[in-house]
Amino acid sequence: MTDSTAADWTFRAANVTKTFGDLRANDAVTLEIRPGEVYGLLGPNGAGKTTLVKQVIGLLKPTSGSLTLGPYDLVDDPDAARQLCSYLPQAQMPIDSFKARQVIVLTGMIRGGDAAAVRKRADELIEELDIGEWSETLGTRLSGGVKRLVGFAMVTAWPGRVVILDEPTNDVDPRRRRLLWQQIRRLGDQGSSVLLVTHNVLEAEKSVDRLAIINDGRLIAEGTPSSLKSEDRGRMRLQLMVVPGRPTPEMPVFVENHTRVGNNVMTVIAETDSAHGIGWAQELVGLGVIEEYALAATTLEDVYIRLTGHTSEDPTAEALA
Amino acid sequence: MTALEAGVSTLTPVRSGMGHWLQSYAMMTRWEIGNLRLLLPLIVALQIVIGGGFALGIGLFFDTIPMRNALFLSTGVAVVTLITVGLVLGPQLVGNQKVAGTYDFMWSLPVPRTTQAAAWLTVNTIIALPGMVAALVIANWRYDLPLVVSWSIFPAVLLTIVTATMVGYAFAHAIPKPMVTQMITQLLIFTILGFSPINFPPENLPEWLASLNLWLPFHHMANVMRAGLTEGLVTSVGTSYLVLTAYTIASVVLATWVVGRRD
Amino acid sequence: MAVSAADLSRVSSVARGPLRWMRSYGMMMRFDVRGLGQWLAIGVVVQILTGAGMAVMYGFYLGDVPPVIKTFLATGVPALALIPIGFVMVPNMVAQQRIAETYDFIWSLPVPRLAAAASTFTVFTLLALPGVAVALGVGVWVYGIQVDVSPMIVPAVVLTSLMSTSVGFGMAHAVKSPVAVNFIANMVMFFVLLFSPIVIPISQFPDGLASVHRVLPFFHMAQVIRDALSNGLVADVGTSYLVLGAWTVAGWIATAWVVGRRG
Repeated sequence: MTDSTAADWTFRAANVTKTFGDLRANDAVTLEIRPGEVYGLLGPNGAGKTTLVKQVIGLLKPTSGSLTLGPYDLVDDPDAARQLCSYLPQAQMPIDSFKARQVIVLTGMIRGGDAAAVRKRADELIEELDIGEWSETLGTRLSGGVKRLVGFAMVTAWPGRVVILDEPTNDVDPRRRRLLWQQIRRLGDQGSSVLLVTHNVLEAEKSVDRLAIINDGRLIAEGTPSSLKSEDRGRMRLQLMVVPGRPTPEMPVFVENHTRVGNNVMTVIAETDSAHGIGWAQELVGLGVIEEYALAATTLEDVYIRLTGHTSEDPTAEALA
Repeated sequence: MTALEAGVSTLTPVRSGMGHWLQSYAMMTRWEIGNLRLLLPLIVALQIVIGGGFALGIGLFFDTIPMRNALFLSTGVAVVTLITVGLVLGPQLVGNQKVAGTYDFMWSLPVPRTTQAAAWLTVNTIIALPGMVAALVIANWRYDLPLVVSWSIFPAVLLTIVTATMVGYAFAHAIPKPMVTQMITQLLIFTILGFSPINFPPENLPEWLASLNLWLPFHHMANVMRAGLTEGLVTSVGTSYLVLTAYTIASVVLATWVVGRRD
Repeated sequence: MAVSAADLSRVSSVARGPLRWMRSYGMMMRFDVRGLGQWLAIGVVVQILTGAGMAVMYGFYLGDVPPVIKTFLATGVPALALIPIGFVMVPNMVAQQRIAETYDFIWSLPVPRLAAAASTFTVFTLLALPGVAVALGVGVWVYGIQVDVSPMIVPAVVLTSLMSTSVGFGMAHAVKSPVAVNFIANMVMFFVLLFSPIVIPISQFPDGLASVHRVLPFFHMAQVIRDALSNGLVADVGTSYLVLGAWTVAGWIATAWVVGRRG
């Protein structure tokens, strides 16, 4: 066993496949997270994100493939996996009977920290997440957002080499959400690898170093947010708000692709076609087909829509369009 | 240096060994007690009500209860209080975790899983003992029993509680649906109460059923309990200890295997 | 496929009257049966097993059963087998609906609420019947007594089942928390099995407890069913029918009050 600081603590998933009967929940997933990296795992519901995470933490066993963290084989040694990885599940945390600070400290100690250091760290987290007014409140009396923040503090009071966060910002108010992102960033800066599971594409774009998009169990894209958008470089998003009840207008040739969600039609056009696009949109307004329009730079959301083939909002959208 | 910096830089390589086990066990026991703290008084009160209720209620079946029956009933109820905690409460609480979605988090904690089972056993014992004592006190008050308590009550209680708790624990973790677990454990309790000579003497059962019970743990649980609480009421206590010990070992092995499994 | 204007215009006319009521009743029965799914079959099997089990196990507890008690046992067990349906299964179903958050949806369905309640009653009564019959058969066989089944068994069973499903339904609606509902249901069963004069003559009970049972429904459930299964064992069955009727109405009022309240 090498010295823990000198070891290469890169997390590697190689060809991880997990099947339940006929269902391939994960299909040959390969990815790598370096120490200090905040890595986003994006994908629609049921894409296989949670299944992958549960295999990392040792709650499920891959059908084939390997999961390693530095020198450790996480599949063979689930005991090591649980010690080396912290996990904030998407579901509720079992804190109803505890006071917030108490459960943060106790979990930190269970995670291997010594009492004094964990207490100090708990106070730090409580202050920096601005949940001090609830630190002596029982879990049952906490609101969903505060519970979520307490859960985050529990699993990061003594963080593992890998910190897995499944939708950490759910229910959290916008201001504390920013505080939470700062803490996530700091986990990375201190050398933990953060695996962030989310379907909030816009939030992820701002916060992750690299990300992967997973769909139907397969990894369909990986890279930095800007490298993933590079294919969309030179393109703009022209968004049309269709008058309720009206059909999607016929697309002119310069529209490269389009998706309708409710009365919202998202089209992608080349930057050089911006003037054409605005002209067309104004014409549609004049005809009473659409209510308004907006032209903006493409975001990761557009990449995500293009890659997963459907929006995360409404799977029936395309059928209607 | 912030606590976080200190934390990540000192992150030890993976811990293992006896020291780690004991430390984790202590921590998980604290967790379980903290987790149940609000419910604990209620559960203990309930245990007392159940124990006392059985001791008094079954007495009502008789116009006047003969002393021999009263002795079998009272010592049997002591066993019942232990079995119900192990077989009902454990599955119930694990079921709650599954329904609330906190189950995965508990299993992701970096402690040996056997420490979670051991912590649960400790808490179960704390919960079960007041009920058992209360049942005996109430029964003694009602029927004026000639009880003779000996030191052998300790191994008797220990073996019974370990077996019941570990079987309940294994069921709760092995069966994915809490509803199914609950139904199975309730049917089990019903069958044990109705068809095992715990609250009544074995001769009340048809012979085949009495012999069948010699192969199951419940008759023996009651037998060792009676041996620890009375004089001259039961025989073959040595055999009962042997059979019960075998069941205890088997239940611990079963629970260890179940918590170590992964899908 | 889209909804056409013709479809919508049909929706906009509000239906009323007995035909709609019968149709709703039928649809809700299908909904309830489907909703219970596999639990329906399991429920019937559990009913049969517990009914037969209870018939046998009281004998084990008593040892030598006096002849009068044998008759009481055999004619009391059918009532005992009916009780879990109304006081445990129905409340648990409502509690499950709350947990699964389908409760509001079910009560938002455009059917008369009485039709929905009637459907629940019908489904659960049918579910109970096999267990009741088996309990009676086993009791008669094990204790070797004669029963004398009169046509009064029909109103006795219907009213008993109606009463217990109504009270269980009302209780589950009035007590919001699923945990509390479950707890009450279990406590009721505990009380019924150990402290109720259903298989045991009320004369064996202490005066205080006996007078409580003249107000509670359990004793009267046993009375009306025993009356329909025996000659001259039960006096004043008219009062028992009245008391059961009053409890039924109380259950309806509780349900109507909770479900009908908007606010």
